[in-house]
This record gives sequence, structure tokens and C-alpha cells, in this order.
Amino acid sequence: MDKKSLLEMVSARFGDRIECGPEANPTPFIIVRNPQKDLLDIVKTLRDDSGFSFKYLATVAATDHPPVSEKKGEPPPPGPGHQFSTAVLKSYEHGTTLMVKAKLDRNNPHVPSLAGLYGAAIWHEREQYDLLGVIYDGHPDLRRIMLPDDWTGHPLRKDWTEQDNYRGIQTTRESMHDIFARRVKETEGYDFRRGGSAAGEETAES
Amino acid sequence: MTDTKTTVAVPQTIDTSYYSPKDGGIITANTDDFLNWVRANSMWYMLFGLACCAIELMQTGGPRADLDRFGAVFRASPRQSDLIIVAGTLTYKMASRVKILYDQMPEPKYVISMGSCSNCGGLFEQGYSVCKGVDKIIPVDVYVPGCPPRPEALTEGVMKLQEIVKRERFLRRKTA
Repeated sequence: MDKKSLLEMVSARFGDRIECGPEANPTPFIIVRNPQKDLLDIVKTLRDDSGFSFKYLATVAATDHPPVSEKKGEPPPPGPGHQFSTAVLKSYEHGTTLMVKAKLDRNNPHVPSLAGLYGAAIWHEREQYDLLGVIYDGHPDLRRIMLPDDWTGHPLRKDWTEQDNYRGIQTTRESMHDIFARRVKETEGYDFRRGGSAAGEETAES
Repeated sequence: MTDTKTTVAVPQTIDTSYYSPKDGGIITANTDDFLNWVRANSMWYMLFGLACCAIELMQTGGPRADLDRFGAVFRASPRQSDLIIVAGTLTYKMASRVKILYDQMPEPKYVISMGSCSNCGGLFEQGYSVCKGVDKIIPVDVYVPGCPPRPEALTEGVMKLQEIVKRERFLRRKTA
């Protein structure tokens, strides 16, 4: 089955509950308009209907989209921005791949969990929760999977900033060049980064 | 095989003029030098690796580089180890585990930081999850540069550590 007929089939089946992605996209995708209401139903149909038979969940991914200004210098559009949670489904019978996307509110990213339909979703959704903070409702065990439990924030969010220490461990390190320059300055009084003497003689640059 | 003369590698300060394998053997030495000689040639390191450097660590223990000839063999328990070789990328999640392992080792204990990642963060210096050097957790005796270091480089690091051990005044160590 090629991409075009797959998208036609999906769009005929689900109608205006979904929005089909462009055909030129390497992997065909659909966006569920109301994920809270429809996502589980649509994915269940895609799995169980013999016309689709997407029996294999390849991965669950997520992306973060804060509001970005269209041109440089302009203020960004109002609103919190959005996040996408994407489930990649594969069918061995038809040799097809389909991505099912759900658009979420960035401030309150709730989406129904696929863990009841595919057991493989449990770890994938934990990863997306860990790194991007997407909350999967109905997940049996929504904990961090890779980062430590006492980590603050979700590091793949665009507005995440690194803390200056973690459990008292400093998170930055002075570069070798800076250490060398400082030692030379301390011991010999020569500021080679500025190409002159540090003490008094402000010659060339000043 | 008529020549029965045997040579033994000992530090310069140990007087081996009385040493003779035939009649039982006597060595005169000062206690510190003798203990250090023994300690330096039995540096047992912990069976512990974090990333790709651990592959080179295994090679170093293998027959070609053969770390065993310096008396360095791996032990699978921190309680039997003199040396921990931190081989690989140290994440913050692993950092607390490394600290626990280090605390479980008996004194005197030594640390070799192997490879760029455990020296300073290396390739992952900008990463959010990587600790920028193992010396922010535990004190390091020898840094081995490289990404990853060759087995020869790690062997050199162990030999440097042996020199450090031989210079120590072991019986007076940490009396304060």
C-alpha cells in the first residue's frame, strides 16, 4: 500500500476527526483534532481493523514548540505555544508506517496514554515525560526513566535552564585556557590574553 | 641451564646484597620502602567501567597489554580493591553510585581518571546530564588523557601511580 492510498483510507474512515498531513512528507502523518476524546478510539481502530492492522508501536516521540516570532526583532505571538506527542505505528501485514500526532497545550500538556493498547508505550511515554514533561493520563507508572528522581524540570524543553549545581556538584568547569591564562597572570604578571602586561602598563589596546 | 643467577626488580633503596635465592634469602630495607614495594606491585583495581573507555580497560587487562604483569588484577568488589579506574562518561545519576563505591573501598585507596569524559566532561561538556569531571566527586591521583586512551596509555597511568605509591611514607600517612 502506498502513502497516498493509505492517507485516503484513513481520511475516509475518520473524516473530520483528524487532519491529514501533506502527501510529500516522507512518513505520512495525521493530527488528531481532539486527542482527549478521540485519540484512544482512533488508535484502537488502526490497530484492530484488518484494513490497517497497525499492530506494532515503533516509538512515541514528542516535540516542543514555544511561540516564535515570524521575523527577527518582532515580539513572539501571544499564548503558551504547543507540544506534539507523536506515536509511530507500523503494520507488518501491509508494510506501512503512520504517525499519529496529538497537539497539546504547552502549559498543560495532557494526553491519553497508549499503554493500554500497546505495552511498548510504557517506557516510551516515561521517556517523553522525563525529557519534555508531557503527562500521559492513564499511564500505569509515570516516573522519570533516565534522569535522577530529584531532577528539576524537563531538559529538552526549549525554556529549560541548567542549574548551577546538582546535589552540590558544580555543573560548570573552567576551561583549560582560562586556567592557564590565570596562572600565567598570577605568577608572571603577564596577561597574554590581552597581549600585554597586567600590572599598570596599559599600552596598546587602551 | 647451568646459570642459576636470578635477578629481582627492587627499588634502589632496598639493599639486595644479601639476597640469595639459594640460602633462603635476606633483604635489608627500611620498612616504608619495603611496604611500598609490596603495595605498588599489587594494585588491585575494581571491576568497574562506565562507557567505551571500559572496552579499552578490558583490553588493558587482556593478554596483549597485560596489566597483570604489574600485579594489577581486577577485583569484583570495592572492599577488596586498592584502585578505582573511572573509565567513561560520568552522568549525575551515576555520580552518586561512584561516590558510594569509593566510600566502600578500604584505605589506602587511589583513583585513576581514564579518558576525556571523566577528566573534564570531554565531548559532553555542554550536556545537561554529564558531570564535568570525576574530580568534582572524589579526589583523583592520575589523569589519563585520550578518547579513549590506548591500553599503553592506561598502563603508563598505572605505572605513574606506582611511582606515587613508592614515594609515600605509608606508615606515617594520614596520622593527623
